Amino acid sequence: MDEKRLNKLRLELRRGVLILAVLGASKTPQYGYSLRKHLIDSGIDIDEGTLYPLIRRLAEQGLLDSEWKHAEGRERRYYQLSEVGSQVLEQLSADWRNMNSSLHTIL
Amino acid sequence: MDMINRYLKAVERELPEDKKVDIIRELRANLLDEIEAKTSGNPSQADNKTVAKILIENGHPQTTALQYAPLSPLVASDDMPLYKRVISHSAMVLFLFSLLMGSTHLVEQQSINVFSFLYQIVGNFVSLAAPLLIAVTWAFYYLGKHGQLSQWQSKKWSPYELPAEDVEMNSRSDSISEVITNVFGLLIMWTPLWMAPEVANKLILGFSSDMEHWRIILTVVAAISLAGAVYRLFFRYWTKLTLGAYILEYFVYIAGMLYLSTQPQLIVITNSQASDLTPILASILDYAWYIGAIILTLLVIKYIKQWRRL
Repeated sequence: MDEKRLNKLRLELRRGVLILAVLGASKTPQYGYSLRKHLIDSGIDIDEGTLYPLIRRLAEQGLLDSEWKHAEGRERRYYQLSEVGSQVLEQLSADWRNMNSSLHTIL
Repeated sequence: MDMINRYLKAVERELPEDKKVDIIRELRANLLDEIEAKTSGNPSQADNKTVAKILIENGHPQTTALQYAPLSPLVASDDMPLYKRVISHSAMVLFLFSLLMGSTHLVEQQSINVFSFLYQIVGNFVSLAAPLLIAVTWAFYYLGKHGQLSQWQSKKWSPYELPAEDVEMNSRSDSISEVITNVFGLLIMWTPLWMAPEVANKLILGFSSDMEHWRIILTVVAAISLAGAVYRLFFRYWTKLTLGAYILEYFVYIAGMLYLSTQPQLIVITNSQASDLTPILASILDYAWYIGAIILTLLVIKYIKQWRRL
């Protein structure tokens, strides 16, 4: 299979997992760049063009709370898991673990 | 900084009005964070090369704007099969309508011009297709936005009601051509209702006085045939009853054609200047009734074989 098609399949595989990763990494307040760095340090490479709009979408869905804060002469928008987001994360994490153990037996 | 401002302005131009301020504010903060990380905490010291690299990584302004504020599709991918079906059915009805309009225009002409006829059909079709496309797309957008389409598409169905594997289906093109023929026939039979008398008087061909007697009978037959054709367009599986009724309809036509071939002609030359064409027309119509009856008989044989298989 050529690289282009493989990358497309990888992208599909990652799409849902990224939401789980972002929700999981937002248990403490994070602004865009700090969240990206946190994910990269954890081994999840995600480009800024994907992550920043994704955080906004999750906030619009009520899964993340957001707040503008001023520090060091700059303003940043901080995101943190909302109450609904915490419940969703818990459910999605359970689903992920189930799926992961099932996949282990298949793969 | 100038490059960042130009980038942000380019993104802003692509964003919806109500989201511009908030998205640009956040995008600016994110870009400054990225630059800060690359310049050891001093974004104002960043050279153009570093800024350009970060902006390229961030994406083309148009792409970035779309990622932040994605456009909702006019027709959702789930609704696409239904959308295509509605468009194709509407296009068929439109074509039928255009053909009828072109045909009535042809009847009103004193001479037959094939190019003018085709131009009428294509012109009518194109002028009606654009508003139709917009109307159907808008309806799908509106219904899709309010979740009514997904609700309708997920309606309950029963596997017991599925047709048999070897079910006989009627031909859609046959049904369409029957709709066209019957509507055209009705329009021709009732020309006094829609054609101005001065235009009718100029026509070479017209109906004989016997038509007054036949008009009601032929109208009833054409109306029943039209209703059957429209029904078959929507219910495409043959049953013993529907195919039987269809065969009966053909028998009525065959009997009618054979009877009419023995009667004085219903279509006559009405223009005195073309009266020498009368015998030619009479022989053409005689043959036309016979040929029509033979063709319908062959079709009846085919349908009877099909009926026995049901």
